[in-house]
Amino acid sequence: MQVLLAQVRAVVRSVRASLFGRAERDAGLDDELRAFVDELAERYEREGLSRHDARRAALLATGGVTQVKEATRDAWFGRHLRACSRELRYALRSLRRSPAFVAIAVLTLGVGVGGATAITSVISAILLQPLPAVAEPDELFSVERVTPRGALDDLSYADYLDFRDQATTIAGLAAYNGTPLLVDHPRTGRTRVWTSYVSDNFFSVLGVRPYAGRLFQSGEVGRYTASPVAVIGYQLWKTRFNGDSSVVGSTIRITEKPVTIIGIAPDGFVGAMRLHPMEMWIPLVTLHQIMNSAPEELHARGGATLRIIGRRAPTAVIGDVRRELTGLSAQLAKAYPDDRNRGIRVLEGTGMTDDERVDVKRTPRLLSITMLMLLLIACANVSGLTLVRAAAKRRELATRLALGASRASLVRQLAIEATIVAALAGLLGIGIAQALVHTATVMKTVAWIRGVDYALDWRALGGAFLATAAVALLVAILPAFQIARTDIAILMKDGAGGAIRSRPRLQRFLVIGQVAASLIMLASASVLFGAFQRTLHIDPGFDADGLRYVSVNLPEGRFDTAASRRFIDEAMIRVRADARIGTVALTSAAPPAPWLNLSRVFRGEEAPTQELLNDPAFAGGSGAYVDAISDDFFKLLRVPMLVGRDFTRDEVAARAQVAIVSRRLADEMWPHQNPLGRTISWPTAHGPQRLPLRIIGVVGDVHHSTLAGGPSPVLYLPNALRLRTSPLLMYRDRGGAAAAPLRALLTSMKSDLEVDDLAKANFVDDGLARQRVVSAWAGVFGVIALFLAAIGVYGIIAQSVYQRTRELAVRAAVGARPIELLRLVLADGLRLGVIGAIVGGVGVVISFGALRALFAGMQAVDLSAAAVAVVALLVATLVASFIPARRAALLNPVDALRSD
Amino acid sequence: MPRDAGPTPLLQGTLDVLILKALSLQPLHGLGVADRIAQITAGAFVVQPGSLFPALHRMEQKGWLDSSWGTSENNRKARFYKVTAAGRKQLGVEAAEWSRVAGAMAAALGSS
Repeated sequence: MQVLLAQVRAVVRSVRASLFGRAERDAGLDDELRAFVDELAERYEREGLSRHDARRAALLATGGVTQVKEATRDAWFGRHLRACSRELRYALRSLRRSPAFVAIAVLTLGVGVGGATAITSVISAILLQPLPAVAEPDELFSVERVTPRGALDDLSYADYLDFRDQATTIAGLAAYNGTPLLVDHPRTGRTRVWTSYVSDNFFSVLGVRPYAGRLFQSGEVGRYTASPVAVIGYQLWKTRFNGDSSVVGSTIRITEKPVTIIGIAPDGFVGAMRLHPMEMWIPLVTLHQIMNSAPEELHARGGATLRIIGRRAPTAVIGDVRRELTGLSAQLAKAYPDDRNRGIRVLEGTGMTDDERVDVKRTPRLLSITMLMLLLIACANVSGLTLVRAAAKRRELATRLALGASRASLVRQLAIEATIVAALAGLLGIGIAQALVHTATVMKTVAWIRGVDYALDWRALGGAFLATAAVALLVAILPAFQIARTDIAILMKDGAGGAIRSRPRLQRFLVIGQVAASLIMLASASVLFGAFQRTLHIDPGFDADGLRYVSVNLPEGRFDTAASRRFIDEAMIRVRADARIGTVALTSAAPPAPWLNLSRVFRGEEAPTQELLNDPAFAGGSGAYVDAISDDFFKLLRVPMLVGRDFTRDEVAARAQVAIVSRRLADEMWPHQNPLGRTISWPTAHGPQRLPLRIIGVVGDVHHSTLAGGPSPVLYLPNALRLRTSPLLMYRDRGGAAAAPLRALLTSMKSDLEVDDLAKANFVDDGLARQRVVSAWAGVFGVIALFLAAIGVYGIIAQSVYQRTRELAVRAAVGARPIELLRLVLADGLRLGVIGAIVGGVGVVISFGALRALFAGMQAVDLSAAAVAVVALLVATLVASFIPARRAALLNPVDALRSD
Repeated sequence: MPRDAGPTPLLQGTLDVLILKALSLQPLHGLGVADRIAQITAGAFVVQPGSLFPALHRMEQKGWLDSSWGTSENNRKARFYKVTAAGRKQLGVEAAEWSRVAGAMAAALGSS
């Protein structure tokens, strides 16, 4: 042990010395050797030699003093370090001499690495991260109800209790849902808080621990009903309560009811829905108190208000849970045949419904394919460039070999150069990735990625970096091995033909591949751009200029009480009386409304029976959005009335059994016929709507959801309140004249009314945001791809010119004109481009198919977009070939032949 | 080996053990070590400075020797080397190994 320590100490000493005390050591060594020689010389003198001879003899006996010094220096530990630093400096100098190569290689690799990392980070942030701040997220699952029409629905409290109590394969089952509520607190004033109402075991099923205070416990239901409590989220606490620790135990008021805050949820916890982060949690059983609804409603079996999340028993697998719950569901269906169908689905992994998951995956998938291609192109590109450089450097390498460098050191030098380039590229890649991820964060306004925080995925960065570095290294070292096996004489002697067979065929394939991949990316970008542009110019079917909507949140949350009806009527009278506000209308959903679900409507005479509706296999009827409106709606939006008439005010007030359909719906249900006077029926769970409605008008189409999907089939019903407790009040606000009086008027009517002005949301923007993101990224990458392909072509053409220097010189000498030489080289480059384009063409067709699947509404084969891409690519190829071609054309045959 | 053969070239391992032995009695400077080695091997091994100095520095690095500046018998400034405890231990280990090998070789070559 002591020996080991001593050795370690010695090593440390010598490393330190070699790093810092080199000059001293050298001087010491000089002294030591001088002393040795002097001693030896003195000894010879004593033996009888003259001073001069003695000295000579001493030196001879010592051998070369320099060699001895070198040998001793080598024995020092720092030898390796010094050699490394020397080689490093040499590599840096060598790289500095070819700045173009370094710049392009670093840029190429950096973009590849950065882009790949960015997209992987975004995808993993959205998809792969489990529900935050919960315990053992893999044990969690969600239960969703599937209606006969295949749409997702919620479950009732009674159903939830049955599942919870009777299932044995689960460790716990919790129910939840969310809604925005108005909260009052002396510190925050009145503020809107996304609140989740949850079963009492919610936090224990999820395995959440409080940051402060405590969370709901199972079995405390009685206590909560007596005095309502709430748990607030960490973010909410930090921002709106300023991180004040006295918040726990204080009281807030929700719709006038006092609620005690008993705890703060941990940082990062957003509830059970990843894409809808919640800020506050209250027990389910207290909801009716706060919303002023009847307590019995909670237990009605027919209600459908809750989502379910559960944790499987540690000994069970998800299949067991699925089987058991499906069985229970079937039993319940038999026990309560009157109520809605109970088909359920059990999904592993939570945080998103199945629909959300599918939706969210779509765009990242496209982008990730793009990124992979970019990475491949980048690697191929750098490989080509490196090979070119190696060919040019062969003389230098051969000279070093002749001067005594070992082949290993040559390989090492090339490897160090490649590593430096890769390291720089890595740094650039980090910067690019950060920038791209930041733009994704900034674009959080896009609905489908709301509520997610993007951070750089360092593993992705590491992976991408290692991959590209490995490729760079490999390609750099290969020529060194080639040289190592070749005779130096051949290397030195040979003209531009060179003994380095840089395998032009391999490189040509590489470049063709690059060109093809670039074409695919360019064409895709071009198509997406085109589609985006077209979408911008689609007529949305209504006049969106200055259109605003205000959400009139009524104090009572109860669905459709007489009081709220009176309030709305009163409000509308006052608003209509104010001339400054202009036309107003009420609606249950403003276009484009991404949160609307498609309903099923039927021709009046074909309305199906309840059993048929409950049958999950039944798929009759047409899909339509249902919007409940007031009489001025079409007038306000300037939607043309094509046939028939609008609702009258009386019909709206009385909720008459009439309806207006959009043209698309009319065409679907009664093609080539006049739908006026016919009946349409919309069976729905929200009260019996089975009485067929008489169609009194057909209006022009309006785009709902995304503008890309084509016009939506819509069914309009009179009176917004029948579908929505807090209807939207729409008005036109040109120049800002109407907003203030409207707000003042509404707030003056009831002091605790929340007027939620969603003016920031420009209709058209919302629907297009996703497309904009994708188009922008695709455009950027398309341009980058073009750039990289051009570099690739340049690389190989330049090399080929270099290799053919002798041939070209001979041609010039026997009379070829510069323009002919130019044409020769350009033709070579163009040929590469064309072959690449043809190969890429196949890929383009495939990618168009994929794009169409991702973005419905795109034309089948967008020839113009593809043509644009091909032309751009060929032009780039020509430009890239031009530089070496010019060099070839300006060749001085005498110089070229002589320099060999 | 032939009688008038020159000094036998030394392998690195043997040089190390000889240096340790040479210094086991007292510290010496470079030339002194070379002299002592020639002495204790009865002239069979002569160390060249080209091998001696790297060996001395290497062994100092490994912690078997310690060096310091001193004055030689001719009043010249010289670097003196001395064995450390670790070095002494190493000497013991190597000596044991050498006698084992020598015994084995003698036995092998002695038998017919």
